[in-house]
Amino acid sequence: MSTETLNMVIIFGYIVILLATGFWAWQKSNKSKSQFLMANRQFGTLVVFAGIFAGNMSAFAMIGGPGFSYHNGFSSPVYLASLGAVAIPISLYFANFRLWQLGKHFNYVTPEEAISDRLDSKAVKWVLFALFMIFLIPYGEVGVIGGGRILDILTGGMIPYWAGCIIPVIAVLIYLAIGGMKSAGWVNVVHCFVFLTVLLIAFFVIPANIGGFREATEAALAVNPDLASTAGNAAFSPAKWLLFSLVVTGVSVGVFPHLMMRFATSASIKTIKTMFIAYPAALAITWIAGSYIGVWGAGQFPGLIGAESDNILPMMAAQFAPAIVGGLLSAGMLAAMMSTLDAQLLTVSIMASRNFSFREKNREAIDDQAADRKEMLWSRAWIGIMCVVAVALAISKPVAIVKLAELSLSGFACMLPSIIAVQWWKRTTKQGVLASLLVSSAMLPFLFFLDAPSWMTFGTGLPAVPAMTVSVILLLAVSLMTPPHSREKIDKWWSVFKPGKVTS
Amino acid sequence: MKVKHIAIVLVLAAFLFLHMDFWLWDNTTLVFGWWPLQSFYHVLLWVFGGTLVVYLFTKWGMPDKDPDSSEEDEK
Repeated sequence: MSTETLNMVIIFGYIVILLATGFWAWQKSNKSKSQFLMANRQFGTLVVFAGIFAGNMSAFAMIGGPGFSYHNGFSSPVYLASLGAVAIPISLYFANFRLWQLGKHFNYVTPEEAISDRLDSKAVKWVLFALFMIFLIPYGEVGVIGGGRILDILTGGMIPYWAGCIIPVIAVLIYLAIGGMKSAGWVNVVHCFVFLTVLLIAFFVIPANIGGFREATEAALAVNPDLASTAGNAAFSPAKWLLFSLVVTGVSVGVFPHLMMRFATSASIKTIKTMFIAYPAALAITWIAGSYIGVWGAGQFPGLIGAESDNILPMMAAQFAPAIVGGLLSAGMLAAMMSTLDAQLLTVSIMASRNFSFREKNREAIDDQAADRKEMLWSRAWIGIMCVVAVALAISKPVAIVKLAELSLSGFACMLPSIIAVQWWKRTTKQGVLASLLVSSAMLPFLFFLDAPSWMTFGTGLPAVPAMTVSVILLLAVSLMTPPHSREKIDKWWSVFKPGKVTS
Repeated sequence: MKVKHIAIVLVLAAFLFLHMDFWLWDNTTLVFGWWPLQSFYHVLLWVFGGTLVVYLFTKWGMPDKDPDSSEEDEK
């Protein structure tokens, strides 16, 4: 059996396992609307951790990260992700913990429902929804495009690019349509287990077949001695060294809507705390294993230019690992991509369904059971619609999608101050939130695509930094200049945050 | 602000300072003959330092229990 055929067998076998897991998870639930949308808010540590971690680890960690490390050396994973070890749990806490408490109490499903209720503003709801869509859909598309490329490369073209885009999306469509959040949660346990395990195996097997860690590193440093340190590498200026993984891949993660929805399914505070404590080590394993293989690749496949190095992981596996490890690595790459994709598709589908098709007021005309059935039907319909959109965009590959995806992470960073302030600062007003969201988001395309001068990015070269600064200033200034909201709404929320003083 | 909140802010500041590692930027020493010292240092800081900081945050910065939460986790 050729390597490409083995890869294809493993990939299809993996998809069968995913579908079986999704079906099993739904079968063992009571199949209610609450299970479909929010897994009854009863997921424990294992499922919540897998959902949030795997939802965060996109194909970037297994494609872009090793590719970047090929050119920039052993410090690359530190630069790209290390401060996220602390920034992600803390950001998730401030952006989600109180929403989680409120969701359990008032039965909010999406973040924009809760926030617009607190501020008594439909404008806030629609602006939040629009920004979530604008930043999330292109970000998700990059995953679908990555999936198409991965399957095309790993199967030697037996699965062409277009089919490589469709196959993972169809698999995701099936398990999401079967059991929504309930199925996705357990499928993500499989995804998480597979890509962590496979990366660890590859981390030891690949250098062993080169001759050992020492030989692999010596070969890489013989090609480029600068791979050992950050000295002389302009990509690692002190400001970027601090702010890239702190802001762009760190705190912005707290308001990824697909992770916010996953966070809201947590069963207890113990679940959340344990998930946070496990996060730094899991993040380190994923980034360091993939990135180091990328650096060792510089010694084995010298001369790759630019994005050519993005394929370094499968190239190293093909050359220095048994065929079965290479095949498992292909499943691992697919797992990293699909885990993010399913979270994103489910989130945009639930948000679209709740905002366009089924609103709470629809309940007034029908009984609860009929309303629940109708809402699940609409959610499933939107999952189907979003899957079609995802495939169509990935196959046509409009340039605008890729460009928009580049600013998605910065866009989420700009939303963070408003989402946190609504939950922690009673003086926050809808005018402050709207000014902060609209102005900072509008700034981003100019900072990104018009080569903003260095002073505008405070010398960091990161557009997220000035845009986020403006979002904070506007939020504070406009909120203080506008009349505060009624005490009644504020007290309704804050009563939930006081232990022992909860009203039902 | 409570003492434990000040403590967690100081711990975070220390973690960020240790991340800035300007004393290692030119160092090309290889630990165990293959692992660049700067990278080795950061892996330790990332895994052990990061876990410790997050643990302290959950102890000092988060509520102990939530009255609405159920302890009937699935797993």
